[in-house]
Amino acid sequence: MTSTSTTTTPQTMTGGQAVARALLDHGVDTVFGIPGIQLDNLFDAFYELRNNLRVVHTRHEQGAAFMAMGYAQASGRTGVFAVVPGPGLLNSLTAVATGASANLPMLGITGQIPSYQIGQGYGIAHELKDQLAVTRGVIDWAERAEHPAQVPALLADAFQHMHSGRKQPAVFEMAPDLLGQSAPVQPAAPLAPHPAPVPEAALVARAAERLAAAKRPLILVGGGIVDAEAAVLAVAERLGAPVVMSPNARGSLPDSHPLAFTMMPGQDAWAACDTALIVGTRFTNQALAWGREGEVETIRIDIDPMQITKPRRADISLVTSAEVGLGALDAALAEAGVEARGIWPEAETARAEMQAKLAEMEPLAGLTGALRRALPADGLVFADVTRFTVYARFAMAMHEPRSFFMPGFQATLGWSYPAALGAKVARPDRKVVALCGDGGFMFTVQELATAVHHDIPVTAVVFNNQAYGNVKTIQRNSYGGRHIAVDLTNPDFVAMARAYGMRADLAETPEAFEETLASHLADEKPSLIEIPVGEMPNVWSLVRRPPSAGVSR
Amino acid sequence: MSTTVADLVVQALRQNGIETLYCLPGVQNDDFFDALYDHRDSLRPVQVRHEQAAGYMALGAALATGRPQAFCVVPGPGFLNATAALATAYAVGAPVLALVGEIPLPAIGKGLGLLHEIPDQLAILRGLTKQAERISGPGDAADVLRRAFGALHSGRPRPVGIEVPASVWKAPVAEPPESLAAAAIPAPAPDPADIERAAGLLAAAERPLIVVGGGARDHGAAITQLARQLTAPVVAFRNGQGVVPRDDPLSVGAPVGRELWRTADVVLALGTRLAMQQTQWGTDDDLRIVHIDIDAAELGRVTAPEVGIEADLAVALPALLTALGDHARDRPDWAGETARAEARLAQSYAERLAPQLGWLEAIRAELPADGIFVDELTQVGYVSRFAWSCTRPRTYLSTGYQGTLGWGFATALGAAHARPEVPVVSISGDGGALYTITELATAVRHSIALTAIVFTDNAFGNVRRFQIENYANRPIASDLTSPDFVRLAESFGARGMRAKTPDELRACLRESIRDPAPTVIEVPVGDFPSPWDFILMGKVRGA
Ligand SMILES: Cc1ncc(C[n+]2csc(CCOP(=O)(O)OP(=O)(O)O)c2C)c(N)n1
Ligand SMILES: Cc1ncc(C[n+]2csc(CCOP(=O)(O)OP(=O)(O)O)c2C)c(N)n1
Ligand SMILES: [Mg+2]
Repeated sequence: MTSTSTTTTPQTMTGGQAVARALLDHGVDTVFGIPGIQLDNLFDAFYELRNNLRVVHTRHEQGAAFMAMGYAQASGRTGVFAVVPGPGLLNSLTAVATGASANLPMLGITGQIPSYQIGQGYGIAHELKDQLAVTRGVIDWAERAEHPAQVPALLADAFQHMHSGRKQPAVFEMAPDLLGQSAPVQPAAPLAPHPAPVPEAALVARAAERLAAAKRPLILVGGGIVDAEAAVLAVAERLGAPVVMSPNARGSLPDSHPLAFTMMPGQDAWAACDTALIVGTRFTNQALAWGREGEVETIRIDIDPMQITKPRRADISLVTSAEVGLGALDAALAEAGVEARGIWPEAETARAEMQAKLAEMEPLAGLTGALRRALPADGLVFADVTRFTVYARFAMAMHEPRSFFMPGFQATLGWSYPAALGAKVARPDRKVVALCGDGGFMFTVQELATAVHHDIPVTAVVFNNQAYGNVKTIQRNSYGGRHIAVDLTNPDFVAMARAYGMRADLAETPEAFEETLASHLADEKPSLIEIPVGEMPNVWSLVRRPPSAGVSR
Repeated sequence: MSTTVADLVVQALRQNGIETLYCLPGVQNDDFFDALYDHRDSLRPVQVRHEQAAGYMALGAALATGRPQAFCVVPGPGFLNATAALATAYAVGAPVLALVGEIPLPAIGKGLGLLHEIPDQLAILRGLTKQAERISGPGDAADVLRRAFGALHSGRPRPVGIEVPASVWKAPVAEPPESLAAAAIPAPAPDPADIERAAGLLAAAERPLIVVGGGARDHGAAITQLARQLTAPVVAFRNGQGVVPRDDPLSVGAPVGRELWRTADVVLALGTRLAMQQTQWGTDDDLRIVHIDIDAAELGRVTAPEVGIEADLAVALPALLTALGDHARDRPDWAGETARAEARLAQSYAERLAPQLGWLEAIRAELPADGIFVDELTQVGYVSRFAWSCTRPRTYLSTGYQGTLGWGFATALGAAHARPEVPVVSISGDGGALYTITELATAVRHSIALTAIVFTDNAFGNVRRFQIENYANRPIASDLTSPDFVRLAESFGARGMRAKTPDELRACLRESIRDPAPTVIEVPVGDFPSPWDFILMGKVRGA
């Protein structure tokens, strides 16, 4: 974080100016949002800083917050959004919950009713019974500034919280009268994130010993691995351990690497492994669905002491960051002379077999291949929850860290398109696509107007099966085909996107998709591609989870 | 097959008069939808395209019918998507049941990161409703359901929440109850002495004024009679519109009400917070207040009334009329003052707000008296709050104090679904319209006819106005690039029309009302004169 303008002398400024200034002091360059009367002083302060701070306004508050999320996903930097209190804030909370589930630093800034009326129940515009309590039902850090002078320290605390440990969103609120009030304000320098704890040497040594002794070691990684890709590669190559990447970790090893595993062959590898190193993942899905409790020796690295015991305690637990923990393990393994072991054969076979199975699943394989060929290796993929992406999240080859994105464990429909827009704002140098179902896409479709207005070149790919297909499949497989409330009547997506003023095309075959996508990406303009799809092979049968246990999907 | 918790919920909904479930399905509620499957003809699911619309449709249906309505969503993001609708239902006093899924019971609060898990969903649900509970098994299901419907049928109408964990739906119920129909819990009877005092004050008043809010919606006849007997003008702001028909000389809009508030000596507040009047228009010791509300918390919210009566208006108003007996006074001076204020302000609107009035008059001319008008935060909408000639209760739907941009289209859709026999027209700006216009797909799928008028100025016009007028001409983040709404509507298979003048708007409306179908009318507009002098009007009493 850079501090461009931190000074030590208090200056007289409004609450709104204090907020805008604090954002700049924390290196923020973009705010997504929708203005409104309670935030007029804040947006006016943004106006003053318009050469340093870009404001991207959207067509629904969810869009602003999802864009902030996508911005954080693509860049690792804080995604910031500003929305009016009451319904504006409520409209953004789905994205906040989604960001929390994906461990992202996102800062929401919202207003309040006038400070002197809070809690009176007069029925002031946008009044909630207890707005802070509502936000705190979603995330830990939700605070209100009671005076302009409090703003710098409070926001510095928010940034520190967001970037310490498991990264998390924060929401800051301030009443409109205070955003407008002038007072002497002492700017605050950014606070460094709390450093990762240093794991106990004896524990590290024991973990290294167990790993070195393992015949069939496995490494499971989740979203916590981002930015520690080099460290995991080093340990994996020493041990010859496959790295099983959860969808949130896709790309941390390029799929061309023989040790790069998705969860699909990962499940087979789990069935055969003797020792597992589990890093930066909640481990919930694996532990609950893959079994072998007590049969696999487990070593876990997680920055969050609350998370590391869930869903069950590992044999050895190192509470620290992926980078620090893997670095320490790597050093210990080097010392023990563990060097460049080869992958164990059962794992290698499982990977090859799974790839062959996946390659047979048409039209999914054809569409995935088309997408992969049309999109540059460093292109960014935002995968909504749709039948196609349930496949692609395992089967599409990824080449770079931070290039494949999912909506965390919330699996929130509609996240992908606005998140992709936010990502493109953060990384204008990359090509960006959003993959959505007809159901999911419609949740946030109004942001087509945002893409056009701000000229954000993202291509939305809509897989149209005229249904909430995921739910429909479960109704077919587990409820005897008693279909209810799952069939949809859609717009003509191409005509709709054109009504928004963007290029749009239909692609009915993988070949057409490849050609159309390549041409859309070359255009570098907001655009949409509709792909009509019918029945798809059931990927869940390969994911091997009971589809409706209600625990995981 | 044994009865399950899911069956009980279906039964409770049906036995309490719910006929439609506005919904969006998902894995945590699969067992419930399967139980619903066998009853889908009497409890019809209407699946929507975003959970906000499930909430807004239930809200629109509740406001249009006055009866409880229900929606059902998955937990986490599904629930959060519907929270703005819940907050709006709370603000406007609508009996809406939120039936919300939840992660499996044993996992709640464990922080495992299960699909759609949020740290404290029930706390949020409680924060947005008047009552919310979780069904934790067959043991408490019937009681929770009865309490929920009891609350929906009783007291101040407001949303109620029920949360059902995924693991609970299929639990067998050992002894299924015969009936889950819940009766209303009667409000306390008004103290006869209070009624006498109220009647005495009103009878002795020289310049009595009646203020009605959303709580008075279903009591128009008694209030009209009271107004006539007392020669008391009746002022409605948003939710009280139509309680006394606006073509009655005693029914006035807020700006006229404020003129009268200046010299009124006794105010009778019915089913209203009375907060806007007291905080904006001011109070002083000469203003004597009789406040009747079913919610004791509203009595004396701002200042203590001289007579505060916690009661159901259905009981209190007849009691008050009885106490007044054959008292009837003409109060010709006061009636004259009312008429003069009305004429003066009508003149002033005509001079200063002609463009907005032109559009409103065009809509009024085509929309029959029982047609429903759904307001939103847009330039024409602000003026409608005081200039719309509303002649029936529940035909002017407003976001009340919540000021929820984007509610309009989906709320109108719910109203139209619940009252297919009357035309429904919503108005919004191009900013507000895009929040929920995706539900055109729902309108087409479920054949719900309504007309959405979209005033397109390619701006968050109101925000832009304030930025220009109050912030030294520094507009930011308020210019928009909107879609072509005609083509947009057509892409959904809906009817798209464009009207450039009030006459053209009349012609479009005539067609969409004669031949009902999902319809969008785009009205391109430029800057409007500011309506705010007639809304934020400042004190007329007290220093
Ligand atoms: C906000 C939200 N609401 C509901 C769900 C439950 N849900 C999961 S998948 C799905 C259907 C998605 O349909 P679509 O986007 O068309 O993709 P398809 O499954 O048809 O490929 C639903 C409703 C969810 N995940 N998020
Ligand atoms: C959920 C929500 N977000 C933001 C606002 C703030 N707000 C009030 S009016 C308005 C602009 C509305 O623009 P439009 O619908 O185009 O109407 P216009 O003023 O242009 O007629 C905004 C953003 C709000 N009231 N509610
Ligand atoms: Mg507008």
